[in-house]
Amino acid sequence: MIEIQNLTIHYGAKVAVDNVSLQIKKGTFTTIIGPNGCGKSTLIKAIAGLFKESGCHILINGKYRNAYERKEFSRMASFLMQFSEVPMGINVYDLVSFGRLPYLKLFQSMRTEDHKYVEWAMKKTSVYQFKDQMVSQLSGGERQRVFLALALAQKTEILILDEPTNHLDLKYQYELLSLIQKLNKEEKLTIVCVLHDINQAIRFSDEIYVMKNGKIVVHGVPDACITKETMHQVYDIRCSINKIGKHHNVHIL
Amino acid sequence: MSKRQLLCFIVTTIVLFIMIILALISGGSTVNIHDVIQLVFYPSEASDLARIIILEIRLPRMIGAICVGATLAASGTLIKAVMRNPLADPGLLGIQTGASLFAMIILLMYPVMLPLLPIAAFVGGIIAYLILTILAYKNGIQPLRLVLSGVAVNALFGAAIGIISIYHSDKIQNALTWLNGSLASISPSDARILVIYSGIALFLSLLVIPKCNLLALDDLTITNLGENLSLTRFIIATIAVLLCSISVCIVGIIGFVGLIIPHIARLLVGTNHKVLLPFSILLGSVFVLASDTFQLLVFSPTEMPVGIIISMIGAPFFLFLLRKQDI
Repeated sequence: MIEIQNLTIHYGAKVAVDNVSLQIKKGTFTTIIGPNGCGKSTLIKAIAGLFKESGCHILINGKYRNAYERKEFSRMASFLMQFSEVPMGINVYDLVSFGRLPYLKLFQSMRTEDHKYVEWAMKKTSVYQFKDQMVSQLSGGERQRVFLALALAQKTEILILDEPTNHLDLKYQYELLSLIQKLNKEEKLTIVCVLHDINQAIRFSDEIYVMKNGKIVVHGVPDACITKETMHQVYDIRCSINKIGKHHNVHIL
Repeated sequence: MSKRQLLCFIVTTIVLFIMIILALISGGSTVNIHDVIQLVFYPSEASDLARIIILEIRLPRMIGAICVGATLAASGTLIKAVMRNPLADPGLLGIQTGASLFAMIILLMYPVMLPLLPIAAFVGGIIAYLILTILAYKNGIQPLRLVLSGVAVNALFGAAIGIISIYHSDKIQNALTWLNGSLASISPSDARILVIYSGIALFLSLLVIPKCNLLALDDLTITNLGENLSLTRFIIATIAVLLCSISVCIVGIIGFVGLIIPHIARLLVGTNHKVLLPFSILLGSVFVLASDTFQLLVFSPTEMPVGIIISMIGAPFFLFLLRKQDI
């Protein structure tokens, strides 16, 4: 359970997150959407604990974010932010193994159970067959799954993702989101995610928060909160909303 | 360890042994391989001259070259891991200049405090490193800004060295050979100090191998793993500064070893520090020892500081790297 109470974050004079309060229930797939610069990335970074001073507005499982020890928090929540750098000269197994670091003391080497979790994480994300390959040699989609495996190896109950599908081909975007949804269902992982694509958000989330200018405009189950009116108000677009299969779909007119 | 890595280790170790023998049998005097063999196997029959030349001149010099090469290569490997940049090098970044400024202050102005030389050099190196990070760090470290900041730090400390030299020009002759990085004047006691300090610093560097590997990841991933990124960086950088200050104290500035050796080592054995760091240390020792022996064989009887030889090899290599990196 993640609870945010009256969180405000400034970048200089600009207010990025403006007095936001929200609650994310355990085991749900929650997505934050909104136009560029609406503060969604800042909000999710704050939840991940990247802004120290906002730690007293964020409660995770009833404990303030800044009351957590570094490693203690890493065992509770893992996050995957947008990547720019590809680590050179490191193979998949070694990279995923870093996920066990929060469980190891200084100079302690990997125990049998750590290797077990690393293999489990790689199998869950279907990257086990690449375990001896260099991360830099993999495709974008495969690489993102490897980083997901690293986050899984941390065995956390919360997984925070900032636009995980960025720079991926459409096929891999759906593949990755389906995988995250599967982890949410099977491993009871609480997913907090920023997505750019509204239809992907509708399709995969249990709950959506729509942000604009640092404030939450509306939130709720996807079908209820994504309406023509909200889309016009937030994105300044005219659209129709049709039901395709099980899900609603936003069509820009 | 892969076959290729093992092969690299074996070949380099063999070359090291050949270089050790070459270093012991070459020099200005007539003491040759026969004397060395005699000293090793029948010590009682060796002449006093051979004993003095081998044990008190050539052996300390050989040990000095190995220690200097090992510590500088290790220092370069660590600083590259911290900066995530192949151009990072304690010499280019001005850390060695910072260390030598403080060493010179002791040598020229407070010679009574000579026992504090290693500490002074270390403090100077740390100060230079701090100035450097303040100058170079802005949304991460960009290669170009890093190298330019190094130029600035080098110029700053170089100017201070210049001022001190002018005020103490009567004592400058000794300091000058030292500043150019000469192995010629290493005494047996210098060698002993070098071995002790180098041993400790190299041991510390081996302890941070896992952290060096961790630094290959991006900052956010490291933070996600619950690591204190700034502290990790600072500890590794401090060990790197310690490593290069040690050689600065005894032999002055020998540039480019920390730049070239880790780079070549990376090409040969890959980027995993578990293999890279020990191999860099080995390769660094071979390189400095070989350069010094080469200098003895070619320029003898003139004594050419090994730092000059290494700069002549290192500078073109650095330009080649700059060219290849597209910065």
